[in-house]
Amino acid sequence: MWASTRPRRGRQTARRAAVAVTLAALTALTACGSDSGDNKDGADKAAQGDKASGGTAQLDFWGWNPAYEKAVSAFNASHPDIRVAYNKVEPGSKGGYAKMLAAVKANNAPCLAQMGYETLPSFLVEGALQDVDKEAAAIKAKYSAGAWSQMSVAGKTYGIPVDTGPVAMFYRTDVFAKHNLTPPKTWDEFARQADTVHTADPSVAYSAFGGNDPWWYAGMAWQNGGSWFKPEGETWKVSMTEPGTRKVTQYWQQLLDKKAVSSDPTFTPDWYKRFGDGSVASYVGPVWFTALLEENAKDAAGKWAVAPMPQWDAGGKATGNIGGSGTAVLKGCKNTKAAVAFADWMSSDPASLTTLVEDAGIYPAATAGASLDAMQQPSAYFGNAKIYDIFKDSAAQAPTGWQWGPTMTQVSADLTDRVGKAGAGNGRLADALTGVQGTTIKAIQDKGLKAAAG
Amino acid sequence: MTTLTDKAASPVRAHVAPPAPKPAEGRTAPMRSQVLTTSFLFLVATYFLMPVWWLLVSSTKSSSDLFRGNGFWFADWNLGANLRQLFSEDGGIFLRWVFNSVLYAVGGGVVATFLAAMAGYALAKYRFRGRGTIFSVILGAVLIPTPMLALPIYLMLSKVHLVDTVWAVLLPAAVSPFGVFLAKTYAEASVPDELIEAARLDGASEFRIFYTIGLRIMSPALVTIFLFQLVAVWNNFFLPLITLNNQHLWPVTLGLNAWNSDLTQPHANLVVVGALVSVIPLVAAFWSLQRFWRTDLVAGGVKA
Amino acid sequence: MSAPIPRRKRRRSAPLMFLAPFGVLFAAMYAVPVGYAIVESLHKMQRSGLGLTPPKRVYAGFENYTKALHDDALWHGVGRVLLFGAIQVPVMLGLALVLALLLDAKSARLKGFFRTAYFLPYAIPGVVATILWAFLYMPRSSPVVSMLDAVGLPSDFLGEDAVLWSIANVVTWTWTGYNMLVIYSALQAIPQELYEAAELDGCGPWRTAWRIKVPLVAPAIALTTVFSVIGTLQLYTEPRVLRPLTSSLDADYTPIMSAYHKAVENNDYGQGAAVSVLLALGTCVLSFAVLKISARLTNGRSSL
Repeated sequence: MWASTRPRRGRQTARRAAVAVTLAALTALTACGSDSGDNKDGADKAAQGDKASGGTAQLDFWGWNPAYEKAVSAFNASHPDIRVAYNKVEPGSKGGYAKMLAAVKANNAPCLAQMGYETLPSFLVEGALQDVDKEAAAIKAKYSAGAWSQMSVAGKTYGIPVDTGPVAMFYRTDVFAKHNLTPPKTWDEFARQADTVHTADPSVAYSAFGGNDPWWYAGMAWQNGGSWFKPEGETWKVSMTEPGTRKVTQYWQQLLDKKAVSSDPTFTPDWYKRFGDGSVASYVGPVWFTALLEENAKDAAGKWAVAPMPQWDAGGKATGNIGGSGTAVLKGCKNTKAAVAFADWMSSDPASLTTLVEDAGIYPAATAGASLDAMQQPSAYFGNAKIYDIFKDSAAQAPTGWQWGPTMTQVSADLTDRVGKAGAGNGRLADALTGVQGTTIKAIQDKGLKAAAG
Repeated sequence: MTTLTDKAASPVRAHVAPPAPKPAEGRTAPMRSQVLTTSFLFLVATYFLMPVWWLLVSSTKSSSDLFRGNGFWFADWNLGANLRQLFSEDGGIFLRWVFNSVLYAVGGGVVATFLAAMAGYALAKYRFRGRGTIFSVILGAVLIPTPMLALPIYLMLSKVHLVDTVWAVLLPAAVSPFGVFLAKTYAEASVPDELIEAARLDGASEFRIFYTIGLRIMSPALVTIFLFQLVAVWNNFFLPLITLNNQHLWPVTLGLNAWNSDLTQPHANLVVVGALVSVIPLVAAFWSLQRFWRTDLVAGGVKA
Repeated sequence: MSAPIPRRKRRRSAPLMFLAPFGVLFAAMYAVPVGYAIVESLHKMQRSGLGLTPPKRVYAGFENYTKALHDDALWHGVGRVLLFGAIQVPVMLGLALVLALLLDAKSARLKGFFRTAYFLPYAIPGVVATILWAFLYMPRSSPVVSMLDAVGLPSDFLGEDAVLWSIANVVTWTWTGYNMLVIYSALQAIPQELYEAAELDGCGPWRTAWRIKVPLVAPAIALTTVFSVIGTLQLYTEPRVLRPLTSSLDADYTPIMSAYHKAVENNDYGQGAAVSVLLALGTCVLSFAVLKISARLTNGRSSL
C-alpha cells in the first residue's frame, strides 16, 4: 500500500508547487499589467520628489549635458533645503527619452528631465508630463517668450526652458581668404561661393549638409517661415512639403547634386576630422556647435569665424533654430515647487549660466543671459572675436510660428534615415520629405489620433 | 546563458559530452604540408589580430593623433597619459565600472552555474512527470528576442524596488537556461546511476548525493557553464542600460558606451584605452580556466 | 522535522527541490516577462482629441499582429537577415571547421598561439567589438580604407551595398573562434584508433578529414548552425552601434531593430511586443527546420 500511495503524493506535491509558481507568476503579471497602461495612479511610489529626509527635498534629475553636473553641485552647495541628484543618461534620441518613458511607466521617473523642445509634445501625448502652471507663473517674465512657449503646449507649462539654438554660419577664414571670399549674405551667394570653391579644389567641400541630424534640417526650414505641424481642431496637420520647406529642399538638392557640400554623417570622428583639416570650409549651425568645434577640432583654433546666417531675401533678417532644450517636470513628481525652484535657478542664476555657457556653449533662454559677462568675452578659439554678438542677433530673429508634433521620436528616426540617405546620394530629398510626412501621419494615426497632410 | 545578454542573443553554440581519450601525437607530417598549413593559419591569425593590434597601437596615441597618420603604427607615445586619464576621469569611475563588471559576471556566473547544475542534474537523474515539458520550456528560452524581455523585467523590478540596485543586474544574470541544457546533457552521460544507488543504500540524502557525487563528476561541465555565463554577463548591455541609473553601478560596457556617445566631450582616446583595459580581465579568466575548459568539455557529437 | 520521512518520499520530492531555485528565477526572468509581452501585444493605447490628455490602455485583439504582418519595412528586415544568414553562417562555420581540422592535423605548429588568437575576439563584448570595427570602417579615418586606397582599391564599408557584409564581418570575427573551438573539441574527442584504421586503409590526411572527421563532428556542426541561425535572426547590437555612423542603416534594418523602434522610438509597446512574438515563433520554426534537416544529413545523430 505504502509504495502505491507515494508516487501520487509526490506528483501532488509537484502539481501543487507548479500551481503555486504559476499563481505567483500570474500575480506578478497582473500586478505590472495594471499600472502599465494609464498612469493615473502614478503616485504610489513615483515621486522621489517628496522623499523628504530631515526637511530636505530630494529631487532626481536626468539629462545628458555634462555641464549640468557642475550646475547641480553648485545648487546643492547653496541650497541646503533641496538636494538634487543628477544622473547622466544617453542623449535623448539615442536612448535617454526611451529610458525616461519607461521610468514613467514604472512609476520610477525622476522629477526633472532634460528635454529637447521638439520632444516635449510627444511626452505629453504619452501622458508623461506634469504641468507646473501654478509654480511657474511668477517666473515667466524672466525668459524669452519664444523659449517659454516651447515648454508649453495648449496653454499649459510643463517645465522651464534652459537654452535655445540660434543659428549662424561658421566658416574657415583661411579657405575663404584663399578664394577671396567674404561670408555670404544670401543663400544665392552661398551657392555661388560653393561653386567657386568646389571648382577650384574638388577635394574641398564648401559646406556640410547636416541631413542626418533631423533638427538641423528643421532649423533650415524654420528660417523660411513655415511650420511642419499645426493642430487644427482635433486634427494634426503635417506638412514637410509646405512652400518654405520645399524651397529649402530644392536648394540643398542642387548643392548636393553638384557635390559642392559634404554629406558625411554628422557628429562622427570623420565629420570632425574634416572640420579640423580644412576639407570642409563652412557649416551653418547652432550656437552649441561652438563647443563641439572647440573640443573636436582643436588643431583648427584661430581658423574658424562666425558670420550671420545667409538670407533667402537680400536684406532679410530671419534665422533658424536648431535644438535647445528645457528642464521638464515628469509625471509623478510630487514636490513640483522644489522642482521648479531648481530648474529656474539652473536656467537663470548668473553663476549657473556662466558654467553652462562656458562648458557647453549654450545660449540662455533667460533674457538676462544676454548680458552675462561670459557672453561679452572674446573667444580665443574664434580668433578672439566676440561671437556671441552674432548669436544674440540671431536669437531675436527666429520666426515664431514653428510648432512640433506629437510623435517626434519617430519623426527624428525617420528624418535621420531618409534625409540622411538622400544626402548621401541615395534618392532625392523631396521624396525623402514626402516619405517622412507619410510615415508621420501614419504614426500619429497609429496613436489613435487624427492626422492629415496640410 | 541568458537571452538577456548580448552575446546570448546568439547563445553559446556548444554541446557537452563526457571526456574522451585525447589522441596521442602521431608521426610528424611532411615538411611541405607543414609550411602550407602554418602559413594559412598565420594568414587567418592576421585577420583576427588586426583589430586587436589597432587597439593596442591606438591606445598609445593622444586624442589628436588618433585619427591621423598610419593607424597601424605608433605615433607619439601617450599610453601612460591615456591610462592616467582613464583611471582619473570622473573621479576614477572607470575602475569602479570594471569592479562592477567583475562582481556581476562572477557573482551571476557562480550562482547561475550552481542553479543550472542542480536543475540539470534533476532533469537528468530523476524520472518524474512533466520532465520533458520542463526541459523544452527551458530550451525554448533561447528563442526569445531580448527587447521583448527588457521592458517587462524593468517594470517587475520597479514593482519590488530593485531598479537601480546591483540586484537589477545580478538576478537576471543568475539564470542560465542554456546552462541547464549543458548540465543535463553532461549529467546524463557522465553521472552513473549505480553510483547514486550505492550512495542511497549507504543512507546519504539526495542533496548530499548531488553535492558530493553529482557536482564533483559534473565539475568540468560546470567550468564551461560558468565561463559561458561569465562572458554573457560581462557583455551584458541592454538590461543594465534600462535598469541602472546610477553611474556608480554601471558595468564597464555601459560606461564605455556612454563615453562613446558623448557628443560634447570627445572621449575617443578614453574609449580606445578603456576597451583595451576592459578586455584584460576576461582574457585572464579564460587563460587561467582554459586548461579545464577547452579540450574535454565542449566536445560535441560523440553522443549517439 | 521530528518524524522521520520515508526515504523514497524524499526521493520523489528531490527533483522538485533541485529545480525550484532555478525555476523561480526562470519564471521571474523569462516566463512572466514573456507572458506580459503577450498580454501587451493584445492591447493598445487609446487617445482622444489632439492626444494632449493621458492615454487609456484598451484591448486590441489581434490588431497589432495584423499591422505587423502588413508592415513592409519589417518584411524587408526579415529578408535582409535571411540573406545575411544564408551567406554569413556557412562562411563562418566553414572557416571554423577548416581551422579546427587544421589545428587538429599533425602538420600544424604553434597550435596554442593560433587557438588563442582565433578565440580572442570572443572575449571582447559585442558593443566594444563593434566600436572597434567602426573605427576601421569610417571612410576618412580608417587605416584600412587608406591602405586599400593606396593600392588602388577604393572601399566604402558603410555604404548602402556593403554595410550588411561589414556587419557580417564583425559577427564572423567575433564568433568564428568560438565555433572553431566547439568543433575542435569534438575532434579531440574522436578516439585515435579510428585514424589508425583509416591510415591502414590507405587514407591520406585530406581523405581522413573529409571521410572520417567531418561526419563524426557533424552533430557539433549542426548545433553551432542552429545557434548561429538564432543569433542571425536576433541581429541587433552590431547594426545599432554602427547606425549613427552611416545613413545606410535605418531604424527598421533588422527585425529586432524594428521591434525596438516600434516599442521604444514610437513608444508603442504593444506593437513592438507583437513583432517580438512573431519573431520568436519564426525563430522557433526555422531552428526546428534546421535541426530536422541536419538530423537527416547526419543520420539522426543530432545532439538536441
